[in-house]
Amino acid sequence: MRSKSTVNLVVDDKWEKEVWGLLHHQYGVSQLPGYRLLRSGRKRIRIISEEAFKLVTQVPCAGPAGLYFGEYRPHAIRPSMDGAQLIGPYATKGVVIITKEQANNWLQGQSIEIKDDQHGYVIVSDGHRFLGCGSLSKGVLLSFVPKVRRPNKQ
Amino acid sequence: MLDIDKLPKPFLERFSALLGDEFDQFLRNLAQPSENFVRVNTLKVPLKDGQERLAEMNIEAMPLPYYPAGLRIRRGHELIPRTVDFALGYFYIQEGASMVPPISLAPKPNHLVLDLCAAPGSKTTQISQMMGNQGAIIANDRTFQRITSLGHNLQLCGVSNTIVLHEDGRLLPQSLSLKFDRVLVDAPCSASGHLRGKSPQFESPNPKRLQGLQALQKGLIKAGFRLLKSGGRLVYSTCSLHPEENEDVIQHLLNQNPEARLTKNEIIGLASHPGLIEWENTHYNDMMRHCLRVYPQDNDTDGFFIASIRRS
Ligand SMILES: C[S@@+](CC[C@H](N)C(=O)[O-])C[C@H]1O[C@@H](n2cnc3c(N)ncnc32)[C@H](O)[C@@H]1O
Repeated sequence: MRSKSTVNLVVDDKWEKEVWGLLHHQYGVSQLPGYRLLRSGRKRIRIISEEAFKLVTQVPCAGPAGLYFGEYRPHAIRPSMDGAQLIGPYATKGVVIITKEQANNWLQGQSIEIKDDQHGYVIVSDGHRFLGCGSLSKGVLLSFVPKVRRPNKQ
Repeated sequence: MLDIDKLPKPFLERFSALLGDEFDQFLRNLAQPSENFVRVNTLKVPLKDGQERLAEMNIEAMPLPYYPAGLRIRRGHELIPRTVDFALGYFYIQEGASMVPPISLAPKPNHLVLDLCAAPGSKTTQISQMMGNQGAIIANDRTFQRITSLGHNLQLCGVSNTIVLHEDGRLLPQSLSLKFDRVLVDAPCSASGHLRGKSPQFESPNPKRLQGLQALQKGLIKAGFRLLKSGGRLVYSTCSLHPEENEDVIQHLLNQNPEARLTKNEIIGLASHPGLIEWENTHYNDMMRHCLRVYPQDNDTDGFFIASIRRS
């Protein structure tokens, strides 16, 4: 039985190098030891532990493998919430820190104004935790927190 | 809450026979509201930090004596799903007894693990946490809708060592050429151990339904065992306490596979009862006593059955 959940996973060394190159450029992270990257569809990036990576080509009708890490946008990587949490602790740049109050609004999907002149996709932290990824332009930080991951207010 | 006066007679008779002297204690326990538990997801937050965060939010949590990352929530459980930490995947809501099968499985970071009936992924995410996101897990389930929640939970918990398959588990030996160090068969079951907090019209054991489930359970354990490496460990678990779904299934596997051996399954800090040696004129293998019957009154959790089997 071939499932609907089957995704088209591609192992591509050249592409993987390119992604790490962009991650280095944006966040100063050039590799996470023990992890490999997979292409899923045209733009989606999945990150997978080394041992599981070796199985991807051996397992028939593999569904999702590893963690959805982010998207390959033209000339930049937009990390997912969990991708940002994963690389956040190793990032040496491309990180913005917001207040707890700002974080509450941003996590609800709202754009917030911050004093930071960086530009592009940034990893967002509240100083204690890495919260996800946003897009920063002219002091406005857009939120990419998916609806299903927004803290439930009731 | 379960109204024990409304429990059907056949159910009461069966559990009275299973529990003997402890039957009253069992009934008293079932009449209580259900307990609340979370697991600190150490893939995302160190255990100590997780506990401190809960304390800061005025949520009272007690580590389970048999699994420190599992917490019984004494006060404030309703606050947890509203927290930022929960949205970030630092905590996973999972019943206390459901954390036991992965402990029996004892996966190591370099292992190749098969979770045959994985959705919605409570145990897969726990196994991944126990492996520190290393090694590899194949997480399979037959039900498409449940695969979606499995994918969601793996993502939420930051699991990166897992490949999801969507197959009938009984057919996996035909399509997988791998052998596994650990196999978990957390089988579909009648959920007869999951009674607390339930509506009073809890159904009686229905022989026809149990027969159907048993056939499926036998097929799944057989497939799981075929995929186990020699020297590897298979854990079979259900949240049912009916012998038809537990000892009968294990006995069937032992009868068919001389290289299957039940192994001791001691978990420090967990109170449990041994598997049955006899039930309604059936005599089981003496080693069946190595299985764990976790009754609700043992640890103030749901009921569970767990068997650990080695391929010699
Ligand atoms: C008790 S639940 C598993 C719970 C899961 N292990 C967890 O901890 O979250 C049993 C699962 O078996 C799946 N199932 C039923 N028949 C199956 C089959 N033939 N092959 C594989 N999975 C099956 C169901 O879809 C269900 O998700």
